[in-house]
Amino acid sequence: MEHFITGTWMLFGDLEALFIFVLGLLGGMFFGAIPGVNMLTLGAVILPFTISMEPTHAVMLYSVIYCSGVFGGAITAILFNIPGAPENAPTCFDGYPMTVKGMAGKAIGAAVCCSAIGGVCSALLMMSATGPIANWAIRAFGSQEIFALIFFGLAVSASIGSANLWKGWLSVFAGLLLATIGTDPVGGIPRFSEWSILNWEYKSYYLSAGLHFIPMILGFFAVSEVLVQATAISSGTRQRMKASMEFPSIVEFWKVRYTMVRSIFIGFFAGILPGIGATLAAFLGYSQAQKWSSRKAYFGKGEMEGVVASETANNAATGAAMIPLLALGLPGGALTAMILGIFQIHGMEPGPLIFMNSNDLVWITFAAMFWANLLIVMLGWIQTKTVVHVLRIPFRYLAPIILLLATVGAYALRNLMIDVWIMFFAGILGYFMRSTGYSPAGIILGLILGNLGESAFSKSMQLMNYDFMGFFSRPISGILLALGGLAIISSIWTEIRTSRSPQSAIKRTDN
Amino acid sequence: MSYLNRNVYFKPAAEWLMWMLLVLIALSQVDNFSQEIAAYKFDADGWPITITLALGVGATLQFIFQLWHLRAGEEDADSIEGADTEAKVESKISRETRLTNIAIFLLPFVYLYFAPRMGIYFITPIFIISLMLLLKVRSIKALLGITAVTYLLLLVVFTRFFYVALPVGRWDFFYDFNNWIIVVARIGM
Repeated sequence: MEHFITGTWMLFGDLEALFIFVLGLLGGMFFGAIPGVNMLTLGAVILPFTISMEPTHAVMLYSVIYCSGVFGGAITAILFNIPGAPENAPTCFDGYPMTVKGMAGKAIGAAVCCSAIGGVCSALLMMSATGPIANWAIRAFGSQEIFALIFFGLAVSASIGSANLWKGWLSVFAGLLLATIGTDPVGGIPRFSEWSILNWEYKSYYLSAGLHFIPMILGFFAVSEVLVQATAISSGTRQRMKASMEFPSIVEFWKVRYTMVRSIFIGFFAGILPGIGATLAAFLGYSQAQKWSSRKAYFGKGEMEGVVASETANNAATGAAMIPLLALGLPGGALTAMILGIFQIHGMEPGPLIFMNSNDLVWITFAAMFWANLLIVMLGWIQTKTVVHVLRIPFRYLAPIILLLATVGAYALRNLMIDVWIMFFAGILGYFMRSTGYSPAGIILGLILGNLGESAFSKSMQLMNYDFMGFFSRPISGILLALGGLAIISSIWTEIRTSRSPQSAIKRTDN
Repeated sequence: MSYLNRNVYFKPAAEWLMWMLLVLIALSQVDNFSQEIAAYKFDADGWPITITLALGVGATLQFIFQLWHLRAGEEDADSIEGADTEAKVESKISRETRLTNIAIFLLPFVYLYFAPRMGIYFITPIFIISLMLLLKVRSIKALLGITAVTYLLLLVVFTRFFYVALPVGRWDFFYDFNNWIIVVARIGM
């Protein structure tokens, strides 16, 4: 407590620190809420400027951007069906249908409050037990457990956002296959960068680096949404959305309290593990909310509980992601990797000693993350009252702006036109996938977890001398694999049982 | 009955064929990187082959289940009112709408083809106006206003502040024009 008060005093008592804090908070929310750019863009742009900053301020700035940026991405997910970051993808499933129903204010309100609650709880857990949690995570979680967790995550989340189980799995497999494009994680051999079909040959140096998920997200969500809306406009079937300002009531939040608590734990647990982070947390939070909800039939059709689950889980992962970074020097994602870069720029090394050598830095960062998450409620409320007005602008005016931002966002990532081509191809693919009941979010999930999964699997196999049963000799990996297997069997059984009616036959053919 | 029968069996079959084609293409490319890795038994192609086969199995299972469900529910499905609504709706889409939709899908690729040749700064306003025209915007004020706002956003945010090195074109005139725009955007910096 004493450390936290000191950290808070250092934050609010120093004008420069306070200025940087506010800039990070607003910048993260702003960049997160613009389709085409995100918190990573902001992080990458300002990285060179951190050289002249105090390391304490620089690390604090990035941690605040992380908190507010994850929240900011929910705004576009809800308003336009375009997630600002992969971790906001499950927010689209119910957030956007709520907007279509004229409940955008309620959806954003739920995202604001739940992001704040998830973030604050995560920050509190982070402050109370960074050292022990980091030590436990690093000992208990080897490559076998990471692979088992990815398997479990895919098993329970595969059918999210799709018309049925099979389409969900096929979407995930397609994502996993796309993730194999690039260099293999063991031998560094380029895969699918050379193509020879009949007499046609193609070799791409750029494909050796793999497909980046940012152009894919922009394509599957932003471009495909523009195409869906544009074709609806041209055929005269598009309905204009209502811009409502209604905030969710306390009673509505009380009804989803268990979902919130569950998502906090899921988010925190997933966030601790390097590389897994907020994306799997959000998908797991959403799938578990759907599983345990009494209103599961309404998920995907504009159920506030879906937004609550995903936004609580992804923000709960932000605080947790700082634990392996600060305590062990292991970044869990792109933004935490940039924070590691700041440490290196300033000649510092994160790890257990940082709590003794740079106590000020640690506690100002913790305090800043705590206050940033609290302030998200206030700023988010203001943002809700203002940003919902964007819906009043006709989509035919917004479409070119969204496409241009997406184009620049995809290009600026690596300064490669191939990324923009990939984005537009993904957009067209996403358009047809959506109209046939497949899940673009499933592809993104497979794409993001594919490399991690393969890397963890290959390390595990080498460690276990190629004995598959070795997974079951470790309790956590054994339990996760068994639970994943059970989830697959039970979902197949449910699919068979629930789809025997003639109505479902019609639904299937429509999809 | 006849329409429904034709339609319900055609879609699952087409879907299955599409997935199998993808599986075959992926498997046919594996030879290009099928190399041994000394310290790893499954080599570079083990994981992609497994995923591809899983995709094929998944697609086949989906097809079998679809056929099974269709056979089970065909008689009842046929009698359900409104089952052929989709066909009626589709037939109402006019030729003009179809052409507009095709143009909407093709426009980004035209933009991408010309962007590296003519430069982003030259081709972007043309792209924005073309897209808005396809979206049935006919007001000159709106066409010019939205184009100006979007172009300014591009210049101020990405060119002036973020120094994003957008393509400036390969063709002489356009290369000079794009660079001139960049110089103007960065005046005073």
